[in-house]
Amino acid sequence: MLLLIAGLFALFLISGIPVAFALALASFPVFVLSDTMPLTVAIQKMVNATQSFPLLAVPFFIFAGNLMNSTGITERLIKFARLLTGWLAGGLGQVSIILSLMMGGISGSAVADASMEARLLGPSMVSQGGYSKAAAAVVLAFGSIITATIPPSIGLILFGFINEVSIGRLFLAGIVPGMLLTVTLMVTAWFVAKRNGYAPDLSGPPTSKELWVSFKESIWALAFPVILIVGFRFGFFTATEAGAFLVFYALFIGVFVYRELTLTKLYNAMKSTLADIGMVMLLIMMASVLGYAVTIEQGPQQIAAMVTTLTQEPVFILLLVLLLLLVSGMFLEGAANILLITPIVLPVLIQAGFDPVHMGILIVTLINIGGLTPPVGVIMFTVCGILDVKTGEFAKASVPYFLALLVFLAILIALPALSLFMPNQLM
Amino acid sequence: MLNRIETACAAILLTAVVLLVGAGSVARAMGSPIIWSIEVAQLLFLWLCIFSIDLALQQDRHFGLSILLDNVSPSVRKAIEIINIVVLIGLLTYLLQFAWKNMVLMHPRLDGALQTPGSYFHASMLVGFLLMIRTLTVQLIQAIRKKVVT
Repeated sequence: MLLLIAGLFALFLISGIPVAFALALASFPVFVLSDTMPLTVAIQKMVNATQSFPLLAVPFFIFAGNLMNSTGITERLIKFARLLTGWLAGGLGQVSIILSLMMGGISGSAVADASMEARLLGPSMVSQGGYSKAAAAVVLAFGSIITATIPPSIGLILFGFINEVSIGRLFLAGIVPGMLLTVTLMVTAWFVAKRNGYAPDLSGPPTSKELWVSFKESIWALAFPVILIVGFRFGFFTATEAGAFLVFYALFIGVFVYRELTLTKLYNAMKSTLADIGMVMLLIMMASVLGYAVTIEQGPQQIAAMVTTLTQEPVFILLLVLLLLLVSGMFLEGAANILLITPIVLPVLIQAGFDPVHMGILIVTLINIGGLTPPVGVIMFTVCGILDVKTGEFAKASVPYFLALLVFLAILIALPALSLFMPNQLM
Repeated sequence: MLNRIETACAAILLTAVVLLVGAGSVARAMGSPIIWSIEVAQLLFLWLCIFSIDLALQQDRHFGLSILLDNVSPSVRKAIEIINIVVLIGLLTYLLQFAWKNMVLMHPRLDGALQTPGSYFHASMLVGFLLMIRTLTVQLIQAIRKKVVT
């Protein structure tokens, strides 16, 4: 029966049916062929999937991110990022990486970040920075995965929701790895720029006065992750309440501080928020039906049994799972992957002695890396589409960055303290 | 027209959910929690999802693989697209009766501090399926009418 589910899912997926509906169609036979489970149970699962308080954080952070983008905060952050890193070799590429780190604090998804930066920075990287189109696309795409670990990341919320891991701890755990990833990518970009002769964007380091003025303008966005952490530490709010708070915060900044948020902009931000919510929520509802069907058919037990017959060594179990996630990350979009695969593999990892929060950071990062690879990486397609780059050229230019990511992942696996230090100290 | 009403409903629901959770957490911090705020927020969120899902469907936002579709001739592509839409309409129409049964089944069940009848929640799927069937039917007609460019 599990094979039938997997086969049907693959069939509908390849034929171009949206992932969410392919999930529903694949779990169909479990209900139809069973005497004890009527399809009304499937309907109940869809409804119940939405009835979770932690899950409410998802629409809030999506809304807040879209609002922040309409307030004019993005342009101010770009200015600050340029002053900070524009004078380094690789100029605008470095700016895009540090910008992803800053944007991570207000927008929760790598794809949104990549498409925003590709539009705003991509063209001038090619015309002024001396980057080839493919090289620019690679820096923009790889930089955007930093967003996935910096709070508030939608991927981490979904991971915490479906696996019942504390979202607050996940948020805190993502901070140090996110910064380390930023440094890793910047060093790589520096070497690549030296070798290929990409020009710096500014002639020299900024004066401290310039930096201070720009910092003051950007403080509203930069302060948010700090407010989040303080809020969690002292128990002022849960992740969901923080999301609602961030919506008000963005409105306040847009209307009273920057005064750029108009009613039209507000309406447009709402409209794109609604479509984003619809996309994620249909996926969640249908994934919970399939998850139920797979559990009834004892899927997790069978997978666990399969893994343990292959190897008993925790490190190999971890590598096996990571390989599976990387491969599925190449085909499925991030949210689908987190909702479908992690509930099946996380119990195996926990049994092997790994910490769920540590695994959460690792898995969410890895799934986003899958979005950077052919054949169907979402982030890759988004950036390549905007900058008009062929995926083959993209893949070629991405080799040094992939090597750097391998090193980063190895460090992340070897040193759980990098992820667990913050949550253990603060919560 | 229907699209505008849906967008308006969803936008109002989104605003209401944000306000409810915000008010709920402020009230709790001040020591007089509103016990029903979360219940109501979750009920409204469910309906928000239903409208949003249909809006996303209208904008083709539900992500799928195009690897096969991009590599076949335009006429085959058109045929597959039509079949896909028919399959989805079939699925949703079939599920419709179960959504109805489930709603009737859930009606007597009272939920939470407000004792909300379960049908307030479960009617959403019936409405959701109907909205999606309507959207898909429009898309089916467009797909059939579309001229194949060779």
